[in-house]
Formats: sequence, C-alpha cells, structure tokens
Amino acid sequence: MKIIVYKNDIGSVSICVPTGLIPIEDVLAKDCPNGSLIIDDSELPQGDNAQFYYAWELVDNKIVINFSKAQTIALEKFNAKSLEEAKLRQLNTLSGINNTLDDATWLSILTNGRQEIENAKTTSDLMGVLNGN
Amino acid sequence: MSGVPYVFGNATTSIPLSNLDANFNTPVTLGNTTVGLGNTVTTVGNLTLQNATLQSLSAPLTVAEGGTNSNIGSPIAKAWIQLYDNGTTVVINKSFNVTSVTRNATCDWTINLTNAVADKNSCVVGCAGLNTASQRVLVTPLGSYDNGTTSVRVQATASIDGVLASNAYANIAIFD
Repeated sequence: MKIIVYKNDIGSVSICVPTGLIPIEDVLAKDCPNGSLIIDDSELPQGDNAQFYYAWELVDNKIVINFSKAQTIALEKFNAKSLEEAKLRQLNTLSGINNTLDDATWLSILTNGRQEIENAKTTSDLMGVLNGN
Repeated sequence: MSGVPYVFGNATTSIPLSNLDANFNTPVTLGNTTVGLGNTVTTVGNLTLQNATLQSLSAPLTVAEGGTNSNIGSPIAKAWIQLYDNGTTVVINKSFNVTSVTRNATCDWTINLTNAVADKNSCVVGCAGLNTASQRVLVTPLGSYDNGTTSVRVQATASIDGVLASNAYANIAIFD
C-alpha cells in the first residue's frame, strides 16, 4: 500500500495514510507539506526497529533509525520501569514485607541493564534489555 | 376523460397513448398526493424513497419530525473514521468524508477532511481501545491544536497520564 511520509516538527517521521477517496497524488498536494514522499508501507521500519518510532528519521528519502536516539528512548523506558519497581520495593520495606530480590541483586540488575543499553548495537539488543531477556 | 385510468395497477404500468385525455387532464399520484400534468406541488405525502441521494446545494437540508423542522446538517456526522494504529502505521477500516489520516507520532492523528466543516467550533467525539486487557483514552492534544475546518487532531493515551499510547483502535466522528 502506498503512503506518504515527511519529516515532522518533532524530528521524526509523519505518516499520511490515504483513505482512497481521492488519488494519493491529490492527498499529497492537499494534506501534506512540500517535500513529502510517496513510498510503499513495506519501506517503514519493521520488527524491533518499529518499536522506536521517535528514533525514526528521514534521510536521503529513506526512513532510518537514529540508534543514539533509540538508546535514549530505551534508557528512559528502562528507568521508568525500574522506578516503578523501586517504589514497590520501598512500599514493601515500609510494610515489613521482604522483597523477592535483595537490594544488592536488584541494584546489580539495574546497573547491568543500563550498561547493556549503552553497549547495545541493534534495536533487538535494546528490546532484549527492555523485555528482560 | 372516459376510459382514462386515474389509478394504475402498479408503478410500472404506463397509460396507453390511446387512452390519454385529449386535454392531458391526467393526474399522477405520488404517495397520497395527486399532481395534475402541468401543475406543481411542494409537498408530497406518504412517500418512501429508496436508494435515494438527498442533496441540498444552496440551503441546509431540513428534516421534520413531529411537526418540528430541524437542520439535518447537525444530527448527522460530517465525517467519521474507524482506524487502527498498529504501532507502525495507521490502518483505516472505514471512513466518511476523510481523504487521509496523518500519524504525527504514536497514536497522534490528524484526520484530513474531504469537505471542510463550517468553522472551528465543530464537535469531535469518539472512543478508543486496544484489546480485552487494555483501554485507551481519546484526548485533544496539548497546545494550540484547535479543531480546524479541514482537519482535526486527536490523540490516544494509555491512561490519563497524558503519555501517548503506542497502539490503539479509535472511532472518531465530527459534527458541525
């Protein structure tokens, strides 16, 4: 299926999907800014690359992954998840409930996860950390 | 008008030329309203329209119910769409008066209209969800994204924290 893409004001890529009511060339002229491109939707990032939308960039008329951005996104997600875990651990401690992992082990997992994100080479590596693999 | 059948057996029966009244004094009945040839009526009663297109080019289309007229433009959605943001792109399942949907970010959509609405005070309504375990909240974006006349911008969040969802089904309608 043909779609239209263009660089947007958040530095990522907007996707315009026509309904088919009018030809895609007319949609391009009516609904999209100058410089927009008609591509096939199979050219959109797939698999783990698709999980990092905010790291998509339009470079030389192709959508690529800015891996540095993807790492930042992964770290934010990892930290957010860790923060929720930390809150629960704190609640458990205040309530006199033992946490499943002791503090040293949990902190080690936290540190290792951050390091793995920093050392990652692909979005699959990043998803592996986020999914706890 | 001897011999001229005033009432036909069915709607497809034509009057034989030989039976036409010499003065063309042959009325036609639509619903329960009789119209003489050469005359006009502005109201026809008890008429059912099938497979009909109603189009009002210069004035609002008006309906009357229980003796009260109302502008048909208000109770009928000017545009609507059912879409699925699958996390990568947007799948448009059904739509009306929409040329395209722009995915500005994850679950951040601009609905581009074929025919513009009258002004920026249109009413945008809808609901969203994902699956049996996850719901979505349909929201107006932060910032100055007023309802446009040629497009409206709508977002879906995973909860009321305002963080955009990564995927969602959404049903959106625009009244004006």
